[in-house]
Amino acid sequence: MVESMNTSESFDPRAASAEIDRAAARVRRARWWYVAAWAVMAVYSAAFYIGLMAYPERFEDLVIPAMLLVVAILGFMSWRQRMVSRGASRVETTVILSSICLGAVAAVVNESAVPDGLTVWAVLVGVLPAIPFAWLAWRAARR
Amino acid sequence: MSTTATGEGAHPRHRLDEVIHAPVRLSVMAALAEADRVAFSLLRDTVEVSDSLLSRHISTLESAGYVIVVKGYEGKRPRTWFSLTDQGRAAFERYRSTLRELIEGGPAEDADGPP
Repeated sequence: MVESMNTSESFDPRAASAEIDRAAARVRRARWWYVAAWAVMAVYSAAFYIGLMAYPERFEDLVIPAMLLVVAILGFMSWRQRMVSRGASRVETTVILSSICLGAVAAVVNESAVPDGLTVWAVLVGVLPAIPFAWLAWRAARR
Repeated sequence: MSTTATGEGAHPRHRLDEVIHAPVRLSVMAALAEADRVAFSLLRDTVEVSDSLLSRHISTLESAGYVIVVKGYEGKRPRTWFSLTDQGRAAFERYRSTLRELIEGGPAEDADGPP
């Protein structure tokens, strides 16, 4: 902190303004752990649903180990995370509920309309529940 | 009573919020304004002060109604988070507006009231 800000008498508005910019930039840089956590959720969510649709018989072989891995990664990111991006905590619950709803939609569509195996349709439908997480990561990253 | 004695003269510097207008507290407010929540460790590293000094300034801001302190646990680890209140965010915006007036030598575009 610059010396000129130590008293009102010697107050320098430009120094104060520069300090505001510096502190804000420092906190903004820390947002990447938050962005990464939601990006991982998006990737995992897509992989989970695509795997579920394309290879339902290998659920235990593929999905459960992947789930444990992602829980470990998210736990580490939560431990590292030291800030929540501005405006994000307001929409986190909505994002999670949206993903759950889209997951239910994906499951219904999978049962009725998606052909067996790893098809374009399985990928497209499987990506749906990941969209809210990807949106939140993108929103936090661009602020 | 004169305006000089009350500190409420026409010059923009008289409108600077004395609670924010201190080096450490200004840095704290600027850091918190950038996020919904900031952890104690990030705030301390950003402001570059000791834990005790940061706690003291946070208490002042909390008393003024500008900051909320949330203490909790993540696993077994205690963690403290800080957020600006709506009142704190508004006060900080007013402070920045006044700063702009001082820097530009005239009223800021988004300052309250007529120039």
